[in-house]
Amino acid sequence: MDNPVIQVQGLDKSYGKVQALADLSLTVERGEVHGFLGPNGAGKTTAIRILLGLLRGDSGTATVLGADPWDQAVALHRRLAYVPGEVELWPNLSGGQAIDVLGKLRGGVDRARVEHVAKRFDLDLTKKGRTYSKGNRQKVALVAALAADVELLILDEPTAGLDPLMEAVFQSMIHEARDEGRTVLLSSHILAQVEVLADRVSIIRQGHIVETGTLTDLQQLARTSITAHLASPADDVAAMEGVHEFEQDEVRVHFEVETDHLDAVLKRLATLHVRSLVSRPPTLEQLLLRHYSDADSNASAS
Amino acid sequence: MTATRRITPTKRSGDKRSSSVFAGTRTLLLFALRRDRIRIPVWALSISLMSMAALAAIDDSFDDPESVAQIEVTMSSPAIVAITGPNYAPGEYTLGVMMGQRMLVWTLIAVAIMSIMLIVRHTRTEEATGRAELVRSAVVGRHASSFAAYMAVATANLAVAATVTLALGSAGADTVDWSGSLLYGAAHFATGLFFASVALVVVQISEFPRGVIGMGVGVVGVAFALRSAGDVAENGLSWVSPLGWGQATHVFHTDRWWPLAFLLIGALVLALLAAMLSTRRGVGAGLRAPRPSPATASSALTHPFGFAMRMQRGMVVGWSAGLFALGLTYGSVLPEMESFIEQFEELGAVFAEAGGATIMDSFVATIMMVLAVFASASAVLSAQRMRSEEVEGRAEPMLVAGLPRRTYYGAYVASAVLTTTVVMLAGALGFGLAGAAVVDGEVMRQTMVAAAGFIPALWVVSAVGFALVGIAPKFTAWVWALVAYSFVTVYLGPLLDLPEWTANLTPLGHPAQYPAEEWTWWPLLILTALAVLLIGIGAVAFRRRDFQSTI
Ligand SMILES: Nc1ncnc2c1ncn2[C@@H]1O[C@H](COP(=O)(O)OP(=O)(O)OP(=O)(O)O)[C@@H](O)[C@H]1O
Ligand SMILES: [Mg+2]
Repeated sequence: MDNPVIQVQGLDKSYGKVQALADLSLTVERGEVHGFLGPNGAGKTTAIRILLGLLRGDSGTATVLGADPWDQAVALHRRLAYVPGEVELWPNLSGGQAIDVLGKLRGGVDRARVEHVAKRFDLDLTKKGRTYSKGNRQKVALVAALAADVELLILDEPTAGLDPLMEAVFQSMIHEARDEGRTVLLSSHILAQVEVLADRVSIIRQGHIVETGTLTDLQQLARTSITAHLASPADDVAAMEGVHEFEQDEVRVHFEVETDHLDAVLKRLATLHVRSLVSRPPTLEQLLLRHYSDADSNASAS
Repeated sequence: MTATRRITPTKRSGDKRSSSVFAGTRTLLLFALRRDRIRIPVWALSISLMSMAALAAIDDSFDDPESVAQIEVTMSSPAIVAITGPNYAPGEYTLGVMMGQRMLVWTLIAVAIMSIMLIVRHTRTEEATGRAELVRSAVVGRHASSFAAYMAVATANLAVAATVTLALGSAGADTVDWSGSLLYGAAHFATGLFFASVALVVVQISEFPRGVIGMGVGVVGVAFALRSAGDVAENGLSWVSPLGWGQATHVFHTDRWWPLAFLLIGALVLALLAAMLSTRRGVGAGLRAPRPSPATASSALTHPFGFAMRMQRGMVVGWSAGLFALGLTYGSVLPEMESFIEQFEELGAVFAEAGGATIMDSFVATIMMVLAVFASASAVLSAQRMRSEEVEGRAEPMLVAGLPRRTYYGAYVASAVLTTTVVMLAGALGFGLAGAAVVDGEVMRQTMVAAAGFIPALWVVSAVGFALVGIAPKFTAWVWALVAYSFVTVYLGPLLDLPEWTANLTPLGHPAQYPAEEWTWWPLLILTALAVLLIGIGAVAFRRRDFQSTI
């Protein structure tokens, strides 16, 4: 049972001339909540739709719950549930009917559980497709997925449009799902959500995973930012290994330093008569912003 | 020194227009025309080419007076009158009159459908997709979108009218003069405007573009049935049919312009009604608030086939009712047919057509063919529905919930098989019932047998749609070309003098034209096999391709 739930290796996918995935590799272990982050158009949805067997990769391999998602889509689908980022409902069916239809396809609906989850999300099951607000449409898909008895939840920006109260309900439901031993792949743009929920995180950019690890691992990769007032000039700090974005304004310096080099830099600062020092700990946001924004450097590297 | 910038409301005193309910119409109109820059010319060219081809084909028959007399007798038969219209120039039958009697109504229907589809495309579809909200939030007046859509459709109708006038007028055919051609074109413009207004009204009622198109096409169907019944029975019913008004111009004969006034006044009244109704509803909403549904699904709904049928319920009911009504209309004119035959028997005319069929039999066969051509339009809808469930993102959650692709595909195929059968039988039943009531029970048997012959052909039409969904999903809508082609070759073929092989290229050309021809089994078997093959090819391709979704 120790095989990863999702294992992707060297996956490529293009839509005509647009290369959506380039040598993507991703591993999601059993029982973890795996955050899947990346800027718009990075290829998250494309990767997920390949994992669901809706699209076929051009090359590379993908395994979900030990099976090939393209060849064994149906068997696989009984063991997973999916929430898309944009939920379209049938205009002439109520939310409850839609949930029933999807549940029966999976093999059966636990009505009590559906009603329980719907109640927690405060969802009226009798409204018809178009009469739901965006957030409520999203909830219909969430209820269908969270009420299903499945091992794997694949969620693509599942809470776009939910209010903060519902966001909290969602988070506690995901915690419960994990406690029950389910695996969750969570693509999201809401950092706070990922920080609270995810055990491990993968960052995708231009169809390629650029970083993967636990939140602590990733924080290691982020930089501590330091602002200090010094009595002596500190020009040589700028040249030290691991120091970035160095700015000096008479006696005040500001820079960012990689975690590995923090010790050496602090020792050097200590010799420069520190009058005051403010340090901000590394954050995931900072790491992400760095990855999201230096698109050009990576494009030329690849 | 710059002072703090303060945002002050811009003064608009001299600028009344920007606050009017029509603000932004010009921009929206140009945008709509840009989006339709291919569509409009295609419609205009198709319609005028069809008219031109018809004119060229029938021109040859008018060379000697003998055959003109012969033609007039045929064209006065209730069969022809029921299908396309009355001979409004008895004793003075000409090429132009024949155009007005046999061709005009079809191209009028074409502009009506064009107008409905274009109006829905620019109004309700925009609202249903949410794009209208973006537009409305810009500086755009309440009626600007509808007005711009209407102007765009008016432009399209003008284009049709102009090209048709040019095509006929420049042909230089005898009796098809320029002034008549101008009236002929103008009838298209007025009919198009009328149905654009009809569409604008129904657009207010329902939230769903598909439903709106259905209602609009339903109105065209009613108009057609009214004029059919009215033309044969000569009871004035044609005067309540908008399609009848176009024909009442008696084009190329007395060239009456005044019936077009009915169309234009009707268009104006309906457009005003639409504008009034539109202020009673919000963007994206219909006039009726949707009622809640049960919170649980019935067991039929949770079955893939039941689900596919539920998605098409309205379509099946609408088409079946429509064809049943049309069948009834045609069936009820059978007595006129009988008295027509008697009248000529007294004169000692010979009534054996090619193959020895009686006029009565060929009338029944022709009507069954007409019903089959109408039914073929419904045959393509299942495949289209399946495709739109896919691209509009609703099929995806079902597949991910464990619905195998082949089951999903199979459910829609099964729904198409059932739908086409039901729709065709409904038409045959209407025709047969009316015939049995006014003539004798034999008609009922004939229509049922003839329907059985056409049903496999309809399956082939459906199957082409499904094959396209698998192989070339982006071109699913092209299956309509097959419907149009069937109509032109099978129905208009004899009129247009098209070679025999052209009809063989469409499935509807193959079944025996029972009861005018002898009944044969083999076309049924071959057509069914062909349908199975096409569906199989589509199934394999559908399993292999990426699932698409535009959201
Ligand atoms: N059907 C399609 N046809 C062509 N290109 C596509 C299609 N779907 C996605 N793409 C392209 O593939 C790339 C990846 O898109 P994808 O939807 O996977 O991104 P994403 O990471 O989910 O973005 P977002 O955060 O905005 O949801 C983008 O460049 C997108 O434009
Ligand atoms: Mg996405």
